[in-house]
Amino acid sequence: MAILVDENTRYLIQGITGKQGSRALREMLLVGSKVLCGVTPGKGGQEVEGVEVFGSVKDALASFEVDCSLIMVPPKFAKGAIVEAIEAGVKLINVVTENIPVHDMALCIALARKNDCRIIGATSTGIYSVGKSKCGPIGSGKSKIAFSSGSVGVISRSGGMSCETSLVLTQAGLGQSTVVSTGSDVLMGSDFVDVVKLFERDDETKGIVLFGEIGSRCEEDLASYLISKGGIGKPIVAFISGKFARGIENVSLGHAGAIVENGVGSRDVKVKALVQAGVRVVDVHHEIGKVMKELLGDKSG
Amino acid sequence: MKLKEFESKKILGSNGFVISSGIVVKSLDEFDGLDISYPKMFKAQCVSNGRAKAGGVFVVEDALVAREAVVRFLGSEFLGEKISEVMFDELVEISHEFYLGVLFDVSKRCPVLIFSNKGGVDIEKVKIESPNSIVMVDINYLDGVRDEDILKMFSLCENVDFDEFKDVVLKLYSAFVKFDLRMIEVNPLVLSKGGKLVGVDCVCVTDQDADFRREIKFEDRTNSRVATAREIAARQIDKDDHRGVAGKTFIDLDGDIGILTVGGGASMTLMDSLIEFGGKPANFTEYSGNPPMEKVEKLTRIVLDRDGLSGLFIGGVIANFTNIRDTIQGTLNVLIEKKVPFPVVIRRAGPFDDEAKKLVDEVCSKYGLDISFYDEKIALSEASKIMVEKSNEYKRKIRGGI
Repeated sequence: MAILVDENTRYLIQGITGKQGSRALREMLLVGSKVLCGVTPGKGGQEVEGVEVFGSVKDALASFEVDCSLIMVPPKFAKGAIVEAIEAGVKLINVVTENIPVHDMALCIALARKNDCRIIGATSTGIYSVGKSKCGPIGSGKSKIAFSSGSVGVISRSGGMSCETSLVLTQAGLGQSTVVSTGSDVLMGSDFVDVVKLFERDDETKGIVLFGEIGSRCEEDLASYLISKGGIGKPIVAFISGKFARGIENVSLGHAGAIVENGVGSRDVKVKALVQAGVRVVDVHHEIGKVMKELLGDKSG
Repeated sequence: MKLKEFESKKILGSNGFVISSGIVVKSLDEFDGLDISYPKMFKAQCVSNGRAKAGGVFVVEDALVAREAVVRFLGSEFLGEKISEVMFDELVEISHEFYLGVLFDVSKRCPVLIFSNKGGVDIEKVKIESPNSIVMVDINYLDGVRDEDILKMFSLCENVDFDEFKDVVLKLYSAFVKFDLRMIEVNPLVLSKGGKLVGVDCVCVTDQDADFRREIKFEDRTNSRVATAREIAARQIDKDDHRGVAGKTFIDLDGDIGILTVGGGASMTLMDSLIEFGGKPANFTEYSGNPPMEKVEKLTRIVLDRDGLSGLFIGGVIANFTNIRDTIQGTLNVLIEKKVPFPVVIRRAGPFDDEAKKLVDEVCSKYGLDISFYDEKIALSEASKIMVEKSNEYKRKIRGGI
């Protein structure tokens, strides 16, 4: 088992003929992901790496059954692409596109809820069930050496740190069940609570590692969920970045998209909430591996 | 981006919302050319909170006092910002003050309308001190605002016409959607002595990812703080060359270790671990997306253009596409030129990292520089520790006069 994607997952890539889309396709095929078809409006009938391209999701789904659509289109077209996938009946959508207007995501998330569809992203680097299948550019090129198969679930709000976090686990001898890059947009298709609930039910996942950031209420909401459940019976280790941002609030911190506004979503608040909920929060990132190993004990093998 | 009052009112007013229409003045000449009646409400235009408490909002009774206020505020620093505009707003006779706003609830991931019959004050305080005078209504983005949503808020109103109230709420919400706003609030929303609802102050936060389609454009401000010369220079690198990102974010700090980070999440982790091990960063900046060598070279030059540095730290996670050799070459060019005496620690992995390491070794032996190159075998936060240790050692040497 794993969560979200496994060896049976059948993919569609929207934006498959673009530079990013075709690159993600090649990387996915390298690890054996079953990419059945792709969509680029106006380019129906073409092929990329032997994968058939259609002009619309509806056309693609007339020929293929898919479980997950990977969105690799430019931000201006992302809303249209996501809406098209939801309306065609796709139940899992992984959005890698960055810089999607927040109102577009608000609409997509509302529509996904109505149609019982799950969105991971936007600004995700993908989903990787190590040794089974992956969706998106996660673990491309040299960064594939960071991942190893095992029993720790990883959830990261940062794309780059989903790789570094897996790397420190691998270096500590701990493999990963599934690595989920949730992105860190204002409105997240799936947040920590949504993904933790999946890991909670996954027998293969023995422990969970979180990479959190300042801004939003992702960590606070998870803490409330854990407290309401009285824990989930699996150890959780977290690293929350943004300590250095203390005192320079309201300064935009580039890609991180993390803006601390008036103490809401500050690192201190997040760390306190998580600790109260029984999560082990480490102050130095690479300690994640050592601490998780300690908590897992015999189960780490 | 947070907008100033006059900008926010432009958005709200264009949507048909009734607002107090202030006159905006940008220079003394402009003021002297005006023919206005008094009294008026003088309002310094800034994005910081608490401008009224800090003395930036007051009634001016005549032209003399008004002129004096223009001279005092225009071009000067107020709440850490340079004031470029002031407003002379009409005085509205107030019968009651309300608060009305809409923003996204990031937990529920939908818009939430907020209304209170205690306007004109800090809404956070109202929420704590008198929770019964505030109503929050979640909006389903697919449905928009429904009559029952408006009725929930209207229950807090007295002497307000329902149709007028409904019109005001719908106009606010449609401005929120139409102009791609992260937030819009009208505080106070005034019930005038004449029985009309008038927006007297307004704040909007725009979503910069939607700038391309917003009908009204605003001058770009990345933050409210007055930028330093180095910050402006760094941002210029990115404006001049659109390949990759370098210098878009640059913050001057007061430490002694220069920083060049690669990628958002990694940059945070790197800064945190450096501080955790006792290091003090001299700046924060990042590059990503495979920028050309020249952009990294320019950014390195700005990072090193500062006295008293005791180290330079370059770090990122394993890159998928960024050319490690070329980007590091950009930095090495400056290190050689400046013959930097302090230690440099690099933690980079990805395409051409072996060649980058070779290049670093060559430069070190040829020019006698102290540059350490680590790939993914050393964790990012471990490399931070090495940087701090090397920097401390360098400082001891300097102090010892060796």
